[in-house]
Amino acid sequence: MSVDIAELYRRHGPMVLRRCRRLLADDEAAIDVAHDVFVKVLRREALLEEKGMASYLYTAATRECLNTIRARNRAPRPTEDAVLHEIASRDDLAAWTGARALLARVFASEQPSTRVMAVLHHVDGLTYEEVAAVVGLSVSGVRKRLRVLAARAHDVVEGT
Amino acid sequence: MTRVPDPLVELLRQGALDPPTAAQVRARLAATPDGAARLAALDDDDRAILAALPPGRFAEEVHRRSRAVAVTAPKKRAGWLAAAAAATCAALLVVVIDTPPAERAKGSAPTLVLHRLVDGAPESLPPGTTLAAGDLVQLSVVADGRGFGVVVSLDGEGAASLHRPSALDGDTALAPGVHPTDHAWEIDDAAAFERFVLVVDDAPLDPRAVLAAAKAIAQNPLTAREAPLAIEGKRITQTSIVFTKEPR
Repeated sequence: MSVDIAELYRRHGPMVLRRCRRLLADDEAAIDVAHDVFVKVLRREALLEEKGMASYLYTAATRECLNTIRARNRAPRPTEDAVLHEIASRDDLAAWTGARALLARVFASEQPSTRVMAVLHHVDGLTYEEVAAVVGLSVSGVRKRLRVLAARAHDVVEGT
Repeated sequence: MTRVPDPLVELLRQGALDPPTAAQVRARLAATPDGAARLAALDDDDRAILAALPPGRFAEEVHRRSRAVAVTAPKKRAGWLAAAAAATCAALLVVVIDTPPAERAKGSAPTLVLHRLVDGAPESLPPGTTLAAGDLVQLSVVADGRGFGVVVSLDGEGAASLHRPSALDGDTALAPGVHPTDHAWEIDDAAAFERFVLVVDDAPLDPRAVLAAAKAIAQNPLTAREAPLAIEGKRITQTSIVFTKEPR
């Protein structure tokens, strides 16, 4: 499929940008990631079809935003005064650090597509059937992936 | 009646839902008091976004970024990898709280040095050391006397991060000697590798441009480990250290 990026953006770009804004809560970062999403379309233009393009762009935007969030979370640990201030300002430090670490361990080895499904289900509130409709998988496939993820989360929690 | 999730509304508007699902979503929207207003608001937002960021300008930037990825085909460059950093290595180490400046011979290539914090003390890591998820790592830049340097990292899943300076508008000036970064990183296991790149030039560098170049490289898993960043400069040099991660 030959891609006219300007036309594709006109039809689907606002949807992509809204998704990025929703997940990143940062307009500049959202615009940046939105550009990257369409760069991926160019790289895959020989493989893509017009049918399914909107769903592809929506899931790609979600996946790129998750990558960006993960890169942010890998941001360096501040030292000295900044660390002390952070510790002092958090009443729930143990729970916060524990929850972050647990989530990182749960998602660490998951496929990017599973993370996208997890966001759609647990953050956006879609049912398994609705997630399947968005990502283009069978309902049973979505159910299996998210159940495996839930079991992994259970194992991680039980192991702490 | 619960709110219809945003993804469903967006894909309904795009005509991307199968007929039964589309019919359900339309019915749910019709049953909510603000369903029609919500759709109208999205129409307005579409127009506002396209006015603020027109298709032509957006496409131009997309093509520019795509070309930046395309020009960085992997190829060997003499002297591209600093002598002190292994050409390929499976180790990453970091964490130095404080490193005294070292004497550097003028004209030596700039390098990255890595340390790991072990029992509260920094441990210097030779090339080839394996890093595990959870290890605390810190970088030091060994400058060669040229004026400006930026350090970024990229991983096997397309993510890129800025390490030095610590902010996108930070100062990139680099005096001769050893400069540890002012922070450490905890290694995660979410990607197969992590690559740190030091970019040095005689003229001031733009951290945003370096980070954007790193992100462009990171998009292509075939070149992310080796391809040089597409950065313009009269005396630009790039030094990389790549490591693979060993999960806990």
